[in-house]
Amino acid sequence: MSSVARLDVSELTAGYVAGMPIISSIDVTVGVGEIVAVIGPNGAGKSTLLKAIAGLCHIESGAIHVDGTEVTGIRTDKLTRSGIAFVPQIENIFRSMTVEQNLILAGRRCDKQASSHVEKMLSLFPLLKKTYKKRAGELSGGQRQFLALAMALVAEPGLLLLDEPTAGLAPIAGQEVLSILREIANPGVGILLVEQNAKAALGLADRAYVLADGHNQHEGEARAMLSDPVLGEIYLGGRRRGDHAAKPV
Amino acid sequence: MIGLISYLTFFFTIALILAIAVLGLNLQWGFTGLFNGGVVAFFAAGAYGLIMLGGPARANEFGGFDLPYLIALAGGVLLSGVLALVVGLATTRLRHDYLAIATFGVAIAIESVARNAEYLTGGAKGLRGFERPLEAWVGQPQLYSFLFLCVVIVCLVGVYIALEKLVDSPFGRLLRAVRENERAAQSLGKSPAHIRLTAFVIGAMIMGLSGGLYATFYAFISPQDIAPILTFQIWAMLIVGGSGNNRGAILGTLVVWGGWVGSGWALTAFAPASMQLYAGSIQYILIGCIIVFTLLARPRGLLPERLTTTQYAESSVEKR
Amino acid sequence: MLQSLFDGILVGSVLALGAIGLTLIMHILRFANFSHAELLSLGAYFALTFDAVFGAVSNVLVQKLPWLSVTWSLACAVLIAMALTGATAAIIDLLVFRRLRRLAGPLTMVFASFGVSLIVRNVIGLVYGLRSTHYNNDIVFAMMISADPLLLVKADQIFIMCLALVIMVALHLVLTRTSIGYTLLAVSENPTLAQVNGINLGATVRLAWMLGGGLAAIAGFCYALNNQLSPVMGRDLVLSLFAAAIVGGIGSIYGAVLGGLIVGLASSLALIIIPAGYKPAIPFLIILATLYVRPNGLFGQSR
Ligand SMILES: Nc1ncnc2c1ncn2[C@@H]1O[C@H](COP(=O)(O)OP(=O)(O)OP(=O)(O)O)[C@@H](O)[C@H]1O
Ligand SMILES: [Mg+2]
Repeated sequence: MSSVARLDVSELTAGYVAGMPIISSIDVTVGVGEIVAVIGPNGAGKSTLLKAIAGLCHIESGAIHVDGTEVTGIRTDKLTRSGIAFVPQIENIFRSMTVEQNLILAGRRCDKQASSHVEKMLSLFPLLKKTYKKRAGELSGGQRQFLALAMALVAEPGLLLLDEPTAGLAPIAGQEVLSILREIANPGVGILLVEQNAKAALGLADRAYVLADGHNQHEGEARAMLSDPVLGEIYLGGRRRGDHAAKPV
Repeated sequence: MIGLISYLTFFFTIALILAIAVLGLNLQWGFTGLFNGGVVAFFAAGAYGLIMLGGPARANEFGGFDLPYLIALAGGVLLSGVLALVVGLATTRLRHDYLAIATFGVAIAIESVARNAEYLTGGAKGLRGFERPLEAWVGQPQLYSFLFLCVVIVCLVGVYIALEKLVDSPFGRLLRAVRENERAAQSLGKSPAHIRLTAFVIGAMIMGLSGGLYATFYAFISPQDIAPILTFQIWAMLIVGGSGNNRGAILGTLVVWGGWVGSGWALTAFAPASMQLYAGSIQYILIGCIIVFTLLARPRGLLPERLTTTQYAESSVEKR
Repeated sequence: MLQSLFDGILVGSVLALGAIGLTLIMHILRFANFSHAELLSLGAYFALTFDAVFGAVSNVLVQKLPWLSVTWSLACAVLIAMALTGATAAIIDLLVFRRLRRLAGPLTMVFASFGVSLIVRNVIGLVYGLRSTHYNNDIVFAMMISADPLLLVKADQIFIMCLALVIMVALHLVLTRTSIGYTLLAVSENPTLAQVNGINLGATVRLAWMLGGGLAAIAGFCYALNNQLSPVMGRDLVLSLFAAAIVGGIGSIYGAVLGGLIVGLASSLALIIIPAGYKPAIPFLIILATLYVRPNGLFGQSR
């Protein structure tokens, strides 16, 4: 691991309305080629954390560094043009546009001739080839998640922020998504992964954070957490609540 | 001296009648956050309703039932309420600016009915011949005007007190909850659409009352009295005074109406003859500027709302 | 009847041009802009001014285009008017709406747009006079295409329809083939996701104002060419434009085109059965009917 982390969040306090923070004093780091999971109950502030990193929230205090450069308060579009990719939890594709248009649009943010990147995505996600000319709104849930992932990867980011990429997917499809993440991380991409399915996330990730009520509750090696009896009781037991994918964010 | 007094009586009568409409708008916009782009439609419904019900019979035309005054006035108010219900039912569930468009449209529709449906509204020449209540009994016209002003003041105070009571009641808190945060209101177990509709209809009926008094004062109503500019004037009055504050609404009415009458007088007195034709345009520009600049520079008006539940100004920090 | 159909399509294509900008802004910035119709008047009057300027500069330009009452100078003036109206729209946003977006909610912008429309409309009246005028005072005779059913058509009217068609096809190509088009579609569907995909929201909003303003200028020119120029033409059109946008579904550009045609046709056909005095109320009835029956319009999505 090189000395500079892909992502270094320190003491981050942020929310949607000034003076009403949702997350407080959060510390998170993601190293080069590392997969870091964030788990926690519904409403813990996991999505808010990702949105704050992506410049979509009101930041009260704290700092965010990407590859050693401070990016706190930088506009979202500038961030995502400089090597960060973010896949929101919901509404993460343009439904009225075709798969092709979605990919071209997403690819445009790295350089003008994104067609080779698009080709690459199609070979990574062969499913998208079949639906290339379809409107994205007509895709199935799994296909949508693949498209959203492809839109994030097409610009070849160094840091990938993923908000529940397996939500609403059949178990097999979810497993497929997660296994692709390992391939992506290998060449050095840092991945911050929010997952509801904590077991699967911990099985895949290198390290993990547990978020509850807007605070860091726990952090550690993913494998160790998986076998931690207390954590297992709270977060890995059968206490997953309803269908979070349908919840407005 | 007599001239001044009778002028002041006239000025305050009109201003305070308009203040009632401004209070109605304050309930809709100030307390509930409903945009009514056609205030004049509800004002007109009250005015025409009153004269159609309480006026003398007209040959071969509808209306002129010669009903007792209070019943006719109530009928006009009710007509405003029904009109508001029709528009509100279609829009209070939808995007919030649909109400603005639909109310703007209803004002245009009402104006074209007033101009064209001679059978109903007398068309361009309007409805004349209304007998003002107790006028013959009072006899002396100046005294009558003064007494009428007193009646207007009583109505204004009545509406003011009723609204103050309403906004302090649990229902009033619901209104503000709906204005501030639809989702929060929903979680209280109340249907925001229903609350909005109720506030919209009550506000419109207050505007109808204002229109009824206006028509009573002139004993006459015609399409000239319900020109679209009236909506803008009433809006300017509310925003200048401070929306969400009933006393502010009344203060704003006096300031803006004073400014309107004063600027009209100044233009007639001092503008060169070649410009007289444009006096109206200049006054309209003034109203437009009052609206835009107040929103930009002093959005809370002269008398800001007293109880602020959330920091509304900061609630849209989303970077757009 | 045939005449009514023709007039309806003619008015409808003008409304469609005007409604495209309205629906875009209403969708992206989430507010009903009551001053949009004033951009139509502004465009029409800008064209009048620059027509005079070009006419004075060059003798060649005062010649008419074949068959039409439009001169070359007027044609050039329309291009300038498009650019100026687009710029004006962007400047109004900068001065008024953008600040309010930061300070307050969308309804405050609706409110301000009422004020802006009053100002723009009456400034036009002050500058150009309150009387209505024409681009060209020559009498243009209509051709009788058919006597029974009666159909009278002016060459200018055919020109307007073709112009509208060309612009819509061009717009379609821009939206579906160019990156500017993708950007607009993306922002109008989901501004946040657009930002996440590297799109500069502020720049796109400016672009939408300029596009909407430019189209409004053409629509205003077409309307004035077919009828007349008058400072209150915006006021007369505003409700029809909203009707077109709502019928089509807010945010849908193709919906706005279809909505414009529907409103134009409905208004024109309705006049067969109801007196002309009620014409201003027809768009309102269309709006009300749409909101009751299909509140999201033909192509709109609920939010
Ligand atoms: N746009 C918003 N405006 C205001 N508050 C919001 C917004 N989005 C979320 N919240 C609030 O922020 C808190 C944290 O929400 P967040 O979406 O970050 O949780 P989460 O951990 O991602 O939950 P989930 O597992 O359901 O996705 C919640 O209380 C939620 O109500
Ligand atoms: Mg979430």
